[in-house]
Amino acid sequence: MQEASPYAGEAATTVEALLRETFAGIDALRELAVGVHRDARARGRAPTTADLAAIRPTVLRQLASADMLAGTGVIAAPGTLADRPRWLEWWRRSPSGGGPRPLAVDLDPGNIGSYEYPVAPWFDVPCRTGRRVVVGPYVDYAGTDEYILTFAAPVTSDAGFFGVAAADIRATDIERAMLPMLNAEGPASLLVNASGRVIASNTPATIVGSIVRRDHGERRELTHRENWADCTGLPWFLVRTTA
Amino acid sequence: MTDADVSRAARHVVFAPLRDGGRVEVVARRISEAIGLGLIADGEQLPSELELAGALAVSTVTLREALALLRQRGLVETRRGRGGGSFVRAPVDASVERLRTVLRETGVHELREIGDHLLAVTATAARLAAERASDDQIARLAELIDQLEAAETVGERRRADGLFHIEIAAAAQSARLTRQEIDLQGEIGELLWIPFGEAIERDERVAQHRAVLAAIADGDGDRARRLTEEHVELAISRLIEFHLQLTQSSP
Repeated sequence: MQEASPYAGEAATTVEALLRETFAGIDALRELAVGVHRDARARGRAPTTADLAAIRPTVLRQLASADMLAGTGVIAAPGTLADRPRWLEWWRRSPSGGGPRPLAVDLDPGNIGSYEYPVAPWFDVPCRTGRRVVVGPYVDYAGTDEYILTFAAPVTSDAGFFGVAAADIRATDIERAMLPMLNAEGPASLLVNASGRVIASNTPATIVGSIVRRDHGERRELTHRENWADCTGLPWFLVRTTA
Repeated sequence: MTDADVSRAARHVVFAPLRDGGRVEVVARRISEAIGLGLIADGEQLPSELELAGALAVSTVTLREALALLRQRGLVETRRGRGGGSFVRAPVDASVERLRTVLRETGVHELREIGDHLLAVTATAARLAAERASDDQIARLAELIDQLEAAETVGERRRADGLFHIEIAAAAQSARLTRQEIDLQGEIGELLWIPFGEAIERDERVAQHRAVLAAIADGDGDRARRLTEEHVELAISRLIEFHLQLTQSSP
């Protein structure tokens, strides 16, 4: 197996900027949600969906200003809210345009079409490990039903674990944003996630969603380990297929 | 229409000679399905062992073992003495009654249409998943098979079964196939799991799911597709068979 060497070119800068910008938005929501949790606890009660709605103006502002956000918000851990067993304060932009809308999902765990978010890696990893996580691309079935990447961080404070703050980016938008960088690297360049799935590519031979083996082509780390030591699902790699 | 009419018509359908070898399990399943589909009613007395064995063209030994299995499953009780015999015990709730009505009223053509669509989506998803599934997804699929195997209620079985196929479509990385699989499972899922009239019995289904998953884990797309096709075709042909039995038993 070939060890991946770090890479400091333009591709690394592009990816690092994407991750930083996305997690900056998430951190803002995380701080607001921690505030909601603490305030309610200070009054000796559990927060409600109405309390959590205090983050909404920030969610909507982020959706309006960021180029690539498909959706963002905070997802409450089951049992943490007083008035709902499960809840998402989550807003999204439709791929076909129009204003932001709240995500409507079936939250009754008994139904086959219900959104089982507690077992989704973007919720489960922060919940179990306290780490941030980058997941995807994956099919978010019963949720947005789209092919997306999710970036998530735990909402944890002295009041305990409250849930997850997260952001979605559509696979198709990441691909569009990354193609110029891949083309600059040369033909048959791939952006690959930590588990070997192709996020974007400029070759029809190995397209988004396919899995490449560790010995596939020349492989370099695009994300700096020291910046993302608390984040599961990284590094991402640049893979050049040598003819 | 009287109960006696239903009963006579049902017997004509249910107690026809078995062509598939007359194994104990096969006999038990035939009777169990008839109970599940409501072709034999709660409290109704089964024909004598001799008569039943003759009608099904199996030995009385085989029949007795089959009845013993049904007793174990709580579907039949045997009373001794005068007026004794084997009686059906099948308390039916409204949801089962509704499913029987839906299956009776869904025509063969419609079942075939749903089946063809299911075949195209489900088998293609399995082929693509063999190329694209991550280790995490394969582990999740194995977990869903374990859930199906351990499920106690019909609802849990149906859910674990449906999610297995939906998760395969997600592992195929196709949002479109996943959406279609969700719709199809919503449409047909509950008909596949009519209590005691399951299109494919749980243990058999678990074995088939394991075989499909092994092909996906091996990265063998052609095998995953073929096994899934067989799995879907079997389920749909059983549903069509049940539908026809239901229509024949109610004039």
